[in-house]
Amino acid sequence: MINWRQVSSSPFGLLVGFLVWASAFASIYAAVSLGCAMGWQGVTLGVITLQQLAPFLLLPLHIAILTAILFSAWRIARARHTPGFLLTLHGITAAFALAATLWTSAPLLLASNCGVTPTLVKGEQLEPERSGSSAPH
Amino acid sequence: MAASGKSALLRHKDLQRAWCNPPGWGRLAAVNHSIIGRRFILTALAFFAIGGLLAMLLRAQLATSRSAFVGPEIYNQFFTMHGTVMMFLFAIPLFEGLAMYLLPKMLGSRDMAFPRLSAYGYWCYVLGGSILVVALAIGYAPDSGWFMYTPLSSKPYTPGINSDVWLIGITFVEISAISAAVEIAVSILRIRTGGMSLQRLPIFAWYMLVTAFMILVGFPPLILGSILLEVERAFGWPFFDPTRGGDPLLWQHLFWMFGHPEVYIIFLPAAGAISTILPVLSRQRLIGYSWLVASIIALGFISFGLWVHHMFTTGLPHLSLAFFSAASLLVVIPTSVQIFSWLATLVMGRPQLKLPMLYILGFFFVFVMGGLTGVMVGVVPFDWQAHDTHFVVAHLHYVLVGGFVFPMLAAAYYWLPRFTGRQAQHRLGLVAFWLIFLGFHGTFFLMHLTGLRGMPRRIFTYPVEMNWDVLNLISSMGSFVMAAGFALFVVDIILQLRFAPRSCRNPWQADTLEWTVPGPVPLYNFAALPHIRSRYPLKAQSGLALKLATGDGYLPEVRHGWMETLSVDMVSGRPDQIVLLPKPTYLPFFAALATAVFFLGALFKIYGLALAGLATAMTLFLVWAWHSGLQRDYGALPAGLGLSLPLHAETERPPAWWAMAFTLVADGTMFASLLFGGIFLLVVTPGEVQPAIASGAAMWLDIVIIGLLAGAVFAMRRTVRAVATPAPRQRLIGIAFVQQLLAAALLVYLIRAAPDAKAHAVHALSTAMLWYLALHVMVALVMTGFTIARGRCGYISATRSAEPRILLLWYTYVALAGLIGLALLRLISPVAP
Repeated sequence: MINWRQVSSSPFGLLVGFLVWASAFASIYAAVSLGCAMGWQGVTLGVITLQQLAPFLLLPLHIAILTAILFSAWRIARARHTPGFLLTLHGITAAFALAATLWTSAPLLLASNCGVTPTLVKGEQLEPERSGSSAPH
Repeated sequence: MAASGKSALLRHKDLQRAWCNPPGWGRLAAVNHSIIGRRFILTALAFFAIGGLLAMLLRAQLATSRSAFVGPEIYNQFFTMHGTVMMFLFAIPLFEGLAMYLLPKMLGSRDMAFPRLSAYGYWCYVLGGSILVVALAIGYAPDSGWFMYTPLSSKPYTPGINSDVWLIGITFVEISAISAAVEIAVSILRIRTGGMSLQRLPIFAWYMLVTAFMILVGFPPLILGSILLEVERAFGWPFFDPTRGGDPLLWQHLFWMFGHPEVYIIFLPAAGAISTILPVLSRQRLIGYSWLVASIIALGFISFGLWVHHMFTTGLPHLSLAFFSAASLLVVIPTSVQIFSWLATLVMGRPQLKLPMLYILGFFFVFVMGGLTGVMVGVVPFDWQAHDTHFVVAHLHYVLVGGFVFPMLAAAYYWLPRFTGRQAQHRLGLVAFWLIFLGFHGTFFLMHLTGLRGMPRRIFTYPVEMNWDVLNLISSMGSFVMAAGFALFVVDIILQLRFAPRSCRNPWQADTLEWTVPGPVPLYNFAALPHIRSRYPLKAQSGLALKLATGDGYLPEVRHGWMETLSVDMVSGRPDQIVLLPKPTYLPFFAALATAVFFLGALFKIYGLALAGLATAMTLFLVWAWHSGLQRDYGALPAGLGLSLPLHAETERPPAWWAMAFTLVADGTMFASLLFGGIFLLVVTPGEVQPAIASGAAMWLDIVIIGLLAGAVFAMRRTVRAVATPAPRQRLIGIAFVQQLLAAALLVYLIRAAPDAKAHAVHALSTAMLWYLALHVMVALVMTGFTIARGRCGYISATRSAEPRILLLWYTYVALAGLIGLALLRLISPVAP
């Protein structure tokens, strides 16, 4: 079990919020890229494809972790009456990381997963938007 | 250690004797932070002059259409070297030098944590930079652009030595950046004066701390990429060759994983200078200190999520584009928090329009414009239009000159009295400012238009029919005006060094500790180290400078001729160790020379010479390490102000422990980049998956290697516990040594049995992974042997246990890397039994 009191009183605790953001960013990007390469779009699980499911599982997980960090910072601050410099910073960075995670994940709702703009695909003829077969980068 | 009845003058003489630096050739042995910092700054300025001269030549060529000033081959070398010199040899070393010079004075310390490392980094920088400049002088300079895209920089398209010069020269210089980053991070976190808690840290130190960690994470991908590309060029391992399973985009990823954070690595120290100077000249404390610190941390992280925005035109999936576009826009928020904090400080204060402030206003103007065009190119459809045009050239110069050069010029005039002990004179500097400011806009503002009219970057000439002549001619004229401004700045500084009258100790009425140091600055900075009770010690503690001069503080006396400074608890700033600093030594200089022999041997493919250089450098490092530490326990010693503290060698976590931990952060990033490369190639490799490990190498071999590495960790943990009793301690270290030796032998067997690395990129990458692991185990063996010898000579005891603890860190890292690395190789080798 993580001792949040200890984390929030260490300078390295300031990194926790954004490490979770980095994990969300990297894992969602990796999941989308791997999914496009491995044809996850063709694997249906009920009403959605595996390609859609992977990022939508990863995102709530990271948001839940960040919310827990923020909540623990708030609880410790409330118990102390005066939050102190490090705890204040801990709260600000965690809140910023949560907002950043939501913002950088927003394209999941808007952009097509594996679609590539046809004119930009190297060495291929113009063709309508593809899905499920583009090389991930 | 109470201040004795000695007069301030006698105390000064004692300190001077202990901290003196030999004259003549002895200057090569200097390790003091003030000397090394000044050398970094002056050398960076010399490289800036070279880069600036190249820029003038480029602009002379582009001034008119169909110009015959230089041909395409020379032009390619010029623009490649201009970018390379400015990014690697000017910007980064300049702020490293400034940080090395200023940080100990700001933190109330007598030196950085590892003075010999600073000196070694400096010599690596000079020698590595010299390789590049000599290559330019004899016409063999790199010519594939400062980001060295493959396949242009690969052997078939650049068969000469040009690309090798870049890859080897820059990797050599990057040793300097990594060593400076470790040095800065440990110094800020541990080597401060008493009472300087994190919340009392000068804001410049926060900026430098985040920058140091960004270097530790940002530079290793490029170091790895450079090694891989050099190995491809030298030995034919096809990491980036698409005909053998490689991919040129892997290079782009590795380069921009470094390249984009690099922009913020350059910007943050400059922003730190602004956050220090602007409140002083506004006569108003910085508004929003905590928010600024949070925004620096946010910027440090988010800037790593932007690298793909340099690759928007490479045919990426829509979601990837949107992902990185979102991150590119997001980075505006923490940057804006800083801008608004500075504006609020200006508005709430009573600003004085002194020359440093003028440069800061110039920064606002230029940098905000660059930031706005940055948002434009962060939007994918616009980037597709503007990519690789002069619009991008304009944007990057607005960001880098605005975000770095203008603040550094402000810093130069602000801290000049600190460097020289003379009053700052601003008449000539004012003319220089306007020449630089107007010349800059004359050069680069019009480049936005040239770019929007379709002029690509990196073309050596253009036809008259394109109608780019007028814009280019004005840009070229502007660049010469700007160059005149820089020349005038240099003249101004030289005149001030020679003729300006003596300055008082704190001419700006600033509130940070560097202004308590007398001028000219003594090598030990402070006669006694202060106890800090505020973030603004000079305002809160009146008469502080005088108290320190009379020995009213920590460590006021010289004992045994030692050079001492304090180490503190990271958070509270409570003193917890006395750190003994090394005397001047030639070791860093000769170690850098030996390193240069290694790199030159690799450059000219004389691998025997390279190995000899490496062996010599390793030997010198061991001699260097041997001279650290103590052969007996001293116990707690008086440290002044009624405090008694142990020497750093008698603590569990001296600065060296933290240095190892931070070095492993950089090493771990390099390893992660290698893993990324493996997964990337696996995913993009068309056709059948290639076995990464020899089919004869059974899974049990991996399990034995991991078991041996884990066993060595276990033995070393027990060594740390048994450190007080010499016989079991030496036996346990011996067991760990044997386990590492067996693991090394098995890894060498795997390398020898691996598939031909030239045949396929996946083979090449898996062999690179095995070499990575084997080299780490070999380093563990050397370190273990060294620790055994140290134990025998009495350097290790119950209290002096740091060396086995440092070794344990390395062992643990190697075991984890072995587990992950071998697992990845199995994962990508489905046909192996």
